[in-house]
Formats: sequence, C-alpha cells, structure tokens
Amino acid sequence: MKRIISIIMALSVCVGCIPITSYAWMTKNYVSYFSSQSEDVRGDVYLYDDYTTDVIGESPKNYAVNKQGGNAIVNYVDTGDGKGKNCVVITDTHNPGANDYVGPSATRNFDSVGGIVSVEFRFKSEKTNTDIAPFNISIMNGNASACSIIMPSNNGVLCYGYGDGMTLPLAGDIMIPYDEWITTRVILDLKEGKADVEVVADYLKETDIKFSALADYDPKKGRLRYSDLSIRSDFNESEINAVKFATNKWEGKQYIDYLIIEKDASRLNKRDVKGIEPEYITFSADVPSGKYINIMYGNEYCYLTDKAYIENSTTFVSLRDLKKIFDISYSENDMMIICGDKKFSISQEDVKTVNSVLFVPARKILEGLGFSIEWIAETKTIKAAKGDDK
Amino acid sequence: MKKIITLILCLCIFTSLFPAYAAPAWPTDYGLHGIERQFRPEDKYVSEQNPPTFSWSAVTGSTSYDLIICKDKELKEIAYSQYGIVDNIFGFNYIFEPGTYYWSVRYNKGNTPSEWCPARRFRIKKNAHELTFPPIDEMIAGIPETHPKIWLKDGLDNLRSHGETEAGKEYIERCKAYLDEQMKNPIEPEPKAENFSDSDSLYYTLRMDICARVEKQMSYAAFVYLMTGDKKYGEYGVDVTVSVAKWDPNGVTNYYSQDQVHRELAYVSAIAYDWLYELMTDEERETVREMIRVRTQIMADDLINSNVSLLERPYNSHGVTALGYIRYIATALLGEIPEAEEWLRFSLPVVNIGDPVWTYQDGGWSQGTYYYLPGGRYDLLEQTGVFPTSKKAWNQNEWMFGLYQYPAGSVGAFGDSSYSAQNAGMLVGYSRMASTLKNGYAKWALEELGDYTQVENYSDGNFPVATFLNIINGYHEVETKPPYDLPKGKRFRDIGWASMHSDLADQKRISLFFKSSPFGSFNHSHADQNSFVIQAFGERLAIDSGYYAYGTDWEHRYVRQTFAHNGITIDGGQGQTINDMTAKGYLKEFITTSDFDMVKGDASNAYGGYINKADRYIIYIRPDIFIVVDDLEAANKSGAKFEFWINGLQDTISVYDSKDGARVQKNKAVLDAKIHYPSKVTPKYSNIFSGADYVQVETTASYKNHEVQTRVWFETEKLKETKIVTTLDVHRESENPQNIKKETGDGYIKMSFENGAVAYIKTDNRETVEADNISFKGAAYVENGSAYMLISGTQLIKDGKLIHESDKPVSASLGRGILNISTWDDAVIKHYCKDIEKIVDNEGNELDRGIGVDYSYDNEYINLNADKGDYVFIINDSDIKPDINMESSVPVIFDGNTKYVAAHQIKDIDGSITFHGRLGNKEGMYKINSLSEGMNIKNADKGEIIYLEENMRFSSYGNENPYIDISTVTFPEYSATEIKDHESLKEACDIFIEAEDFKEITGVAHTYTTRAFLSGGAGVSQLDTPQDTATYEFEVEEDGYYDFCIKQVAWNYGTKRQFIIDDESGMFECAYTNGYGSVPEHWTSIKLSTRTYLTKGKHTLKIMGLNFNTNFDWFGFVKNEEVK
Repeated sequence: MKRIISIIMALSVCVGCIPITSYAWMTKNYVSYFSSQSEDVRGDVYLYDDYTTDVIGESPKNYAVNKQGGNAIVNYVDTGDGKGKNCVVITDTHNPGANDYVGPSATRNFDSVGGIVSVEFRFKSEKTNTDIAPFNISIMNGNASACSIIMPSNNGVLCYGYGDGMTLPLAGDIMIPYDEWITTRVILDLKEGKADVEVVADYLKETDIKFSALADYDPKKGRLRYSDLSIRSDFNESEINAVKFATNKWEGKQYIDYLIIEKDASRLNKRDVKGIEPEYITFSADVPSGKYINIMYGNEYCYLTDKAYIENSTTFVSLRDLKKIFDISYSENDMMIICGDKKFSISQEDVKTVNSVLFVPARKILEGLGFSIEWIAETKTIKAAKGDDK
Repeated sequence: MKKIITLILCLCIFTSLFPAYAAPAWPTDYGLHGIERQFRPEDKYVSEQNPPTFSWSAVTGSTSYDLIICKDKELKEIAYSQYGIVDNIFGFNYIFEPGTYYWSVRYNKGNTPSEWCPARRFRIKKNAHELTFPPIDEMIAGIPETHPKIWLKDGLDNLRSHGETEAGKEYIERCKAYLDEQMKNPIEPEPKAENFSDSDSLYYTLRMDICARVEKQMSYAAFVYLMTGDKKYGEYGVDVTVSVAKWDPNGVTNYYSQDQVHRELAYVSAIAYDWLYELMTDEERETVREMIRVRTQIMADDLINSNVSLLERPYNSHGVTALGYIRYIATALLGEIPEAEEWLRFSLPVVNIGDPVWTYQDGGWSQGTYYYLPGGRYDLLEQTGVFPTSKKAWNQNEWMFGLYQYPAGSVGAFGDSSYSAQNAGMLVGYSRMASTLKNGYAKWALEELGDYTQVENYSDGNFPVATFLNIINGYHEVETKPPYDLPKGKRFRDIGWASMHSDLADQKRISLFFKSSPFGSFNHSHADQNSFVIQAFGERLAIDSGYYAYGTDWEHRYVRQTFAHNGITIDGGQGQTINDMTAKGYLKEFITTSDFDMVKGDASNAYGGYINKADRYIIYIRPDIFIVVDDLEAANKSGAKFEFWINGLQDTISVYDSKDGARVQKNKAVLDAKIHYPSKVTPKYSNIFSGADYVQVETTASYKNHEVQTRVWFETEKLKETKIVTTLDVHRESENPQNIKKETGDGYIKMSFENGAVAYIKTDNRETVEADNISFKGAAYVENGSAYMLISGTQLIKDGKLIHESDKPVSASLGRGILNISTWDDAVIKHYCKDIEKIVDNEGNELDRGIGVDYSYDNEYINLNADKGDYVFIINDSDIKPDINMESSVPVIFDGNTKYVAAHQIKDIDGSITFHGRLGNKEGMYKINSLSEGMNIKNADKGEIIYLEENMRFSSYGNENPYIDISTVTFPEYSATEIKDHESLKEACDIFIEAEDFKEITGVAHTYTTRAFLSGGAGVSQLDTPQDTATYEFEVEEDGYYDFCIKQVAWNYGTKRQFIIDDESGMFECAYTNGYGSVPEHWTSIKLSTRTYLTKGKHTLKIMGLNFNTNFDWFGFVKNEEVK
C-alpha cells in the first residue's frame, strides 16, 4: 500500500512537472505505468524523458549523440492519436554494405542504479531506402550491455537480445510494422541476472500472429509478457547507467516518444509458461528386453559377457560368466565345479568350446550345485536361487 | 672484365648498405572468409592417388608459383618440383615413388619470390591409383580436329558396334520412337519472358519441361544420326538445333535468370553441333556456333574472367558444373573459334585437377546426399579420349559413398533436401560405377535400388543420351557382389562424415549417420556439425528436420539451424553459425569392428566463439545401442545451459514421465533416448517449426501442407562445463527396450548392457578414471568378453596391467585378433598384445613407413610410431572378414507346404549367423503365421497380414535354424451400397474413425488437409497401391454384428480397396465420384454388408490401396440388427 501511495505521489510530482497536454498520447499504447492494471506494482520514477522541453532540431538534452552516418535530433512528431509532441528522431542515411554496422545513436547516461530497474520506452520505426530499418536499444553499464530490444538487420523482427546472436523474437516471426508505435518495458533484475519484458502495440491486439509459447499474451490489450529471461552472460555489473538507442547497417528512421526508468521496480507476476507440452509416457525398462539370455540371481539381472546359446533345448553359458555370478571355482584337472561346500562334477560331453571360451549347460550345473532354476521365456532369464532361498 | 669487377664491387657496396633481403611471407588471410581454394593435400594426408593433385590458396598479385615436393620437412631434398606455375593448382605428368613427402609452394610477384609456405606432409598409399596429368598443350593436341569427336575415343565404327548389340538396338529404337512422336509437332518456339514470372516457373516449366524437351530432341536426333547415319533424324536434329540457336541468349533463357537453362542449351547444342556437323550448311553452322560462343562467353566472363575466378574461389556449385560443360563445349568447337582454346586452357586443368572441390579423394560429397551427383555420368571427355576421369581416386572411391551414406532402404543424410530418397540418377551412377570400375558392389547397390529400366531411360535435363554409355560399358555383365564382407561402418575422411550400420545388406538395417565436416555450414550444408541421423527398420527416427527452400527466410531461420538437427545448442537454442565455411567440424577418430564402433567429432569451431569445447563421441554397442557422450564447455565464465536435441517426424516423439528421456516412434521402429548424465535435465518439446523460443517459423508456400516435424531437447542447468551421456536404444515396437544398468562412480558412470558389453564413461575433468579393475585416461572405455575399446585416451590399465599408453589421445580397440588404432595426430603408442607371431595391416602390408607406422615388439607390447590416421592390424592371421561363402537354404512354409529357398548365410567373425534371401513369392497379401526368432520380413509381426512384393527380401539374425511360415490371404468382395447423404450415414455410425487418425501409415499415403470441409478438417490421400496402408485402432462398446462404412471419392470406375478387420479380410469397389474431392459435392459414402462380429473392446482396421486413386474422409461401423 505504501508503495502504491508513493507511486501516486511520484505521479503527482511527475504530472505537476509535465504539461497535461503532453501525455494525452500516453493513453494510446503504454504498457502499464499509467494504466489501471491492478496486477502491476510499479517502482519509483528514477528518470523520465519526454523531450517536451527539448529544442526542436537539436540533440536531445542529456543524451550523447553519435552522428556517424546520420543524426539524432528532437522533432515534433505525430504520436499516433492525431496529436503530436517532441520526440527523438534518429535518422540513419548510412548504407555502406553488409559488413559495416556503424550508424547514428543517442545514449542516455544517468547515475548508476541497481536492484530491480524498469526501463520503458515507446518507439516507432520508419522505412526509408532499405527494406529493413534495424534498431537496437541497449541497457548498459558503460560499454557493457545487459540486454537489448532489437530489430536485427537480417529480418527486422522485434527481438529481445541477450548475447551475440542470442535473440528471442518477442512478437512472432514477422517484421515489425513500420509507422506503428510500440511500447516496451524491460524489468531488469540485476541481482538475479534475469529480465522480464512487456510489449504493447495496437497491431498485437486480437491478431493471428503466432507468438512464442513462452509468451503471456493478452489479445485485448495487445500485450505480450515474458518472464525470467536471461541477460547477457558476460554482463557482470550490479548496476546500469545508460540506455543507448542505436541504428545500424541499413537505412531508416527511428522515433522515441519517451523513456522512463524506475528503480525498486517489481518483477512481473509470473505465469506458469511451459512452452508446448509433449505427450508423456511411462518408460519402463526394468526387466530385460528378451533379446539376450541372462541370469537372475539375488533379485538382480546379470548380463552375460559371453553370449549364451541354446542347443537341443539346453542353454549353454560360459563358465567364466557362471564363475563371476555365482562365485564358483572350477578344477580343470578333475572337472569339478565348486560352490561353497557344494561340488559338482561335469563330463567332457558337457563342455563346449566356442572361440576359446568354455561353455557349460547352465541348468545341469546350477541344479547340481543346489540351485533351483526357473526359465522366464519373455525375458530369456535363467532365474537361479539357492535351495533355501526358493 | 673490368666491367664485371666494377659490377661486383657495386653489388658488394649495395648489399652492405641494405639489410639482407627478406622474402615476403605467405599470407594467412585471403579475404574470402574460408571459401578460397584449399591447400591439398592437407598436412599429414594419405593420398590414394599417385601423384596427388596439388592446390593452394591464390595470392593476390602473384604472377606465378613454384611447387616443390621434398623428402624432408626442412624442404632441402627436393624430389619433384615445378616452377613458374601460373595457376594455383597443379597435376604432375609422372608417377611418384610411393612414400612420404613434404610439399610447399611459394608465389612470385615478378621476379620476387615469397618465402616457402609451411611444409605439409603427405604419404602416397601403397597401391595408390596412378593418374598423371598431361600438360595442357598435350591434352589439347589430342583432341580430334574433325567432327564428330565427342564419345569417339575408339572411333565411329567401334561406337556404332555398340548400337548393333541387342541392348544398343533397343536403345536406338527407343530414341527413334521418341523422335517420331516429336517430329509430328512443330518445333518449339522461343519461350516468352512474360510466361515465367518467378523462380519456380523458370525452373520447373522453362528448364525441366520446355528446355529439357528441346535438349532431348537435339541430343536424341544427333545421337541417332551418329549411330545410324539416318538423315531423317539428323535433319530434324539440325532443324531443332538451328531453331534453338536463334533464341536470344539474353532473353528468358539468359544466364542470370536461370543459369541451368542457359548452360544446358549451350552444352547440348555443342554436342549436337559436333555430331550433326556434316549435315549442316555453312550458314547453319555459323548460326549454331555463334549462339554457343555467345552463351559460353557469358559463362566464361563470370567463371573464368572475373576478378575472383573459380581458380581462386572454387566453392560455387553451379559454377563448377558450368565449367565442366565449358570443357565439352570448347572441345566441340576447338579450332573453329579462338575462344575455345582459351576456355579449354582454363577449364581442363581447373576441372580435371582441381575437382572435386567439395571433397578430395574419399569418394564423399560434402554438399549432402541430395546434391551428390554420381560423377560417372559426366565423363564425356574420357569417352572422347581427352582425360581419364574415372582413374581419379575420388571416382575410384565414389561407389562407397552411396553404399554407406545413401543405401537403399534409407533416405539420405545431411544438407539441403537430405530427406529425399534415391532418384534415378543414383541408378545411372551405380551402373556407370559398376561398368567403369568393374565393381560388383556398385552393381549390387544398383539392384537394391530396383527399377533397372531407368538406367537407360533416365533424363535429368543434362544430356539425355549419356545413358547410352551404360550400354557401351556393359553394366549388365558385371557380376553382383553383396557387401557381406565389407566393414559395417565407414568414415569419409575428406568430408568428415561417417556411418555405422547394423548390416549393410539389409534394407531394414539400423543406421546412424554422423557428420563433423571441414566444409562448414556453407552453400548446401547446414549448421549441423557433430549431429547424427538415425534410420532403422526402413523408418526415419532421429531426423534432419525441415524442408528445402534455398535462400529463404524459412531455411535460414529453421532448416539450417542447429536445433533442426540432432546436435547441441546453448541458452535457448543458440547453435552453430549458418552459411559459413569457417564453421567447421572435425571428425577426429573413427573405428569400426564387429563388436563396437566409435566416432569422435569436434565442433568447437562452429559455434562462433561461445562454446570452448564441443566434442561428441558416439559409441556403437552393436547391433542396436548407441552411447552419445558430449563433452562441453561454455566460453562464458558464468556458464551456459546446454541443450541436447532430437528431431522427429510429426507425432513421433513422446517424453518419459521421468523427464530424463524420450521415445521416437515411427510405425514399428522405435528409438528410446535416455539421458544418463547429468542427473538434472529438463525436457522441452515443440510440435511447431521452432527452436527453443517457440517462435513458429513459417514454411515457404510449397510446404504449407507438409507434415510439421517435432523435436525434443533436454536442457541442463547453467554450467561452465559438463558431459551429457545419452543412450539411444533402437528396436522394433514389438520388442521391449533394453534394461541398461547404470552405476554412478567417482567421476564416471558405468553402464552394463544386455549383450554383456560394459561401458565406463568419464563424467568430470579428472585425468584418470578408476573403476572396478579398470583405470583409464580418456573419454570412455568399453568391453565385452571378446573385445575392448579405449575411446580417445592416453592410458589404459586393467587388473594392474598396462594395456595402452600413448603420448596423444587415440582410440584403440583389440578383439578377435584385430588391433584398431585411430589417431588425429602422429602418436607414439604402446599397446599390450601378447603372443604376436605375425602382424600385418588389413591389406596384408607389413608394418613399416610405407603404411605410416614404425613398430617394434617385445613379446608383450607392440610399440608403434604412427602417423595420423586409422589403422587396422591383423594379428597372427586372424580372420578379419566374415565367412560369406556359405550358400544355404531356408525353409519357407507357404500355405502349409514347405519349400526351401536359397539364401546367403554369413558367419561373422564374432560367430553370429545371418541369412539374407528372397522368398520367391508372388506379390500379394500374406498372413505371417510364424517366424523364427530374429527373422525380419518387412518388419512384420506374427499374425499380421501384409502386402509382400514379388520375391520379397528377408533377413535373419542370430539364428542358425531360421524358418518362415506364411499363407496367402484371400479378399472376398463385399457389395457396396452408395449412400449419397454421407452426413446421415455418419450420424448413424456406432463406431466412427476419422481417416486421419491412423495408428500407422505406410507407403506414400498421407494425411491431407487441403479440404477444410472434411470431417475433422482432414482426410487420407494416396492410399492407392498395396504398399500404401493405413491402420486404425478402434474401441467397440457393445458386442454385435456391424457393417463397414466409408466416406470416399474415387474418380475411376472399378476402383477397389482391400481391408482387414482384425483377422477378417475383404475387398470392395468404391463408388465412382465425379471429381477427386476438391468440393464437398464430389464426396459420397458407401456401406458394405460385411456383417462383421465385433466384441466389446479394442479392434484393428487396416485399409490398403489396390488400383487407381482414392481419398478417404472417415470410416465407420453401423450395427446390423438383422443378423441374429
């Protein structure tokens, strides 16, 4: 409750600072900051740029602008509801080829902030001379990026980026529509190294676009939510101090309506997203498949090193396998098999030699040594038990 | 003299003023991102060709190269050399002494030579295929000056004599008959550009229909004239050729809109020109020649004269093929246009010496099985007497690629469209290999693929009458040799592929295909290093997922991705780099034996730097278990979640509720995959075309109605490094999975298998694993009663006795008197081998430097100083090949009468007995009454009724007394009553089955979803032949007599289908429908008075095709209350 009150207080301050006409646009697409979505607990406003007091035609205040291949200035822009306001416009006129990624950028530096930080911005892309207008919004500490919202130069799909080449398409497998305002909020948990992401846009309302099964989709609001996303694994900072809006590679125009950063934000309510559920089966391989003759002794299946075989209804098992399983010994001189105090004499006819390995009739010998024998056909198991274990 | 002294003085002063001259270094980067021509032979290569061809990466600005082949690695003792080579390839014109050499090259810029590049060692294998490369002038001088010349190595009379044989006459008559039909039609006008708006219409309509027809007309007519001198056909050929010559080379058939059309028109026209020359007027000759010249010059400008030609950048699949055609064109036109000699001077060496660029000598094809074009078909120059292509090592080894990587009974593996079954091109290829190499295995492979007629009728638009070469070379006469005596596993060392089969000869074999290729993920290759494909019992289980659509977003975002293959990714499906020649894998070790096989791949280079270690070992516990061991390390110090992927066909994957494994089942074939380590993994699953992000990647339009394949992946916790140990148990549905006993030890797991094999797998990074009576330094160790294998290790101690020691990790196995060693680098090895009296390699060679190994023996240990390579050593004349000369017979009980059918009986070196034979039956439906244990006929189970093709194959394993008991099944015909109001019949059904809800489907029958109005939105199509079956399980709630009902379309009168309800068989005639079901009005239903008695409980229904075509929507049963 305290927190809600503080939000209201902060809002009051905020509203007091901003001309009331300047946030009429916010009713269009914003994620939740000014919404009545009761499930969201917002953080404290740490930074709020809406550029209304910036000078048109100049670089946005408090932003470091790199003009390479274009420019980033403030201009008066239709914000989607027929009204307009100042926005940052980044124009990339640099189209040098496949291997040159440099484009103009505008970086908002601020005092470092840690914990759970919410970074929210509203933007739209405009196509100029190339099919794709790449855009990359990075949340950073110095030069190190924690994560980013990107429209990659190869496909223009709206993605969450969390490493080199590691991207999660946020709003389906389609290129973002040009001239559509999109509001994005990244809630960065710098302690856990995780992020939640929300995206809201009109084109996402009641659409048949196929979203990731990881998305929590609200078709009425046109809102997608993702929880517990990884941030870049090489980001080792506990705070952030910059948000960089950058274009690259191809040409295009990017518009930024506002940037809000909150500290002490709350993570999104987690939905139990399981992806796509498979059919589950009970896998059971507790008993032998029945492909090979085996011996069960002491409730344990013993697999035979030398392949046992059946000849004239008699199962022959190698003597060395029997020795291993039953702890028996064999006196070659008198052809005597000994197991504890039991002895059993075998004849020359009993012994078969296959590839230099001695095989003997299993039942005859084991029964001779006092074991009871049972044949389980389904698993090809010779079940042996000591006389007193039957 | 004064002048000379002055000059020397000046030189002395000059040299004292400047530091010593430093030769320019050899570059390390060629600016082509890995697609520059490679150095061949690579370091430590064993050449199967004497001499090998040499190639190296071109250096910009060089004017020539010097090549030396030395006896020492310091490059002091030059054995062979060639200076002033203009191109970056070279083939010597003389044979080398067999032995080990070191080669190097330097470039010259003007008079300034570079330093020599680092020496590369190669050894010429004993009995290597000898092939010399004559100087280009000599080759050109050997080309006849008059027409005709193509194919006329032995003269026209000799060629025509082949047309006099029975097969030759028949072939020529077929050509004439075709031409007679074609001559009734007007000559094809030039196609209009406006009719070909997209790549599909350019390929399928322009190339494969219109131009293929025109090329067939030209080549058939020219061929018939060449063989018979019959002017009727020759003049028709001239007319067609001249007509085509008037087509605008820059029009719709231009090189840049459809290069295959362009090149084929030029090349077929050139051969037609050669063969029809004497019938043409000067004007006609000029017209045709000019067209060929213009078209060929366009190709030459792209492939020969561009800044970076095929010499520097050879990895251009269409370009290499086109250059091959330019050779033929230039041969045909030599002496008539000046460009022809220029083209020949470039194309002859580049193709003859530099090819094949997609491999080297091993006979493999890195572009994948689909893009493998059996090379023997294109040896026109050999038949012309220009160059003996078939003597190249690659051509000599080629037959093994099909046999091991693309055998009958399997579809292909790896690369674009790898799911495609063998086409007629393979038949033609095998026939050429069989006849050219006199190879009985190739002949056997040809017979396994079936329909012989295509060997002589095949036409793929390249050069239709090339199939006549099969008759010339007499493939019919080559004696068939089944591959019973060949190893069941094979490595293709140049392309980094391997395969392991339970049995090469059995089409229902278990096969695992593995890849870790230095050809990266470029062109037709995918990001699938270290991935495997499993096919078994004729079914695809662990598959290469996706459908082929080159260059599309779909292919880039799904088909080429690692997660669409059975490989490893990290952190949400991030896999290897696509479309990148430098994303290489290396297949480092491979051993195949009768007990165990092993393969090791290293894919760490393929992940773009975010995986430090990605080794995969696959150990094959013959005949049906594979152990996959992944040894992984993330590049990031905070680690990564590793993911192990298995892809399957639609609806084939289910996950164990224990969450540590999954089952892939297709019809009767099952793959049980179980993760044994690490203990904590999370299974995830997708039944859409997606990776781990679950974002569905849309297929291209042509695949919208194809089945959606599925995949499961097991995700580890976030770990810096880990092993993943998985068993893959392949079995039939009727067999239970094997009980694999696992024990966890200190730094290892031990697995005991039902066949007595035991495996110890290292699970951490300790140097030495101590387990039971074993101690080893390596990745794993396996043994059974007869053999053992150390996997990638340096030491093995058993019962306190040192068994193996090496200075580098090697894989080594010893069993049944055979010692196998596989080492990725030169290694010093000590291995315990008691009582050796004689040791030779598997080709009978003494162990010496000639086979790459020095050895000594001290009565207990064999000490080897071995070059990088794979070795098989035979101890004391042990048998290394199975006994295959045991002709035998198997009793087959047909309808209660026993007859004996001939069978091949094979006794393997492990003593196991296998039979392969054919039933001698007529085609038809049979009931399997009984089969001896281990007998496989089409995967049939006892009691099953199945369709058996004529003279059906059977195989029997592990049983010395096999038998087969079958009986013919009759299908009484039931009368059918048509009920047009199928909705009311559906309503009346007591039992209702959607046609698409089958339990099993075979042949080409499939679900079709293009008729949304059908019940359930889908039906079954192409249940047309007896091989096409659909089997259903259904539940009956009440005992009683039922009549069988069907909703169907059948657009031919007399369409009949067979069915089996439990054990009761029957047949019915479908109601004729006026259409194939594209609109609801086409559909009707029928009711059969089967009066089948069904008891409460589960039952089965099987529907089989018989003739014509049908589509089905549903089946049902209506209770027949009239029957008492």
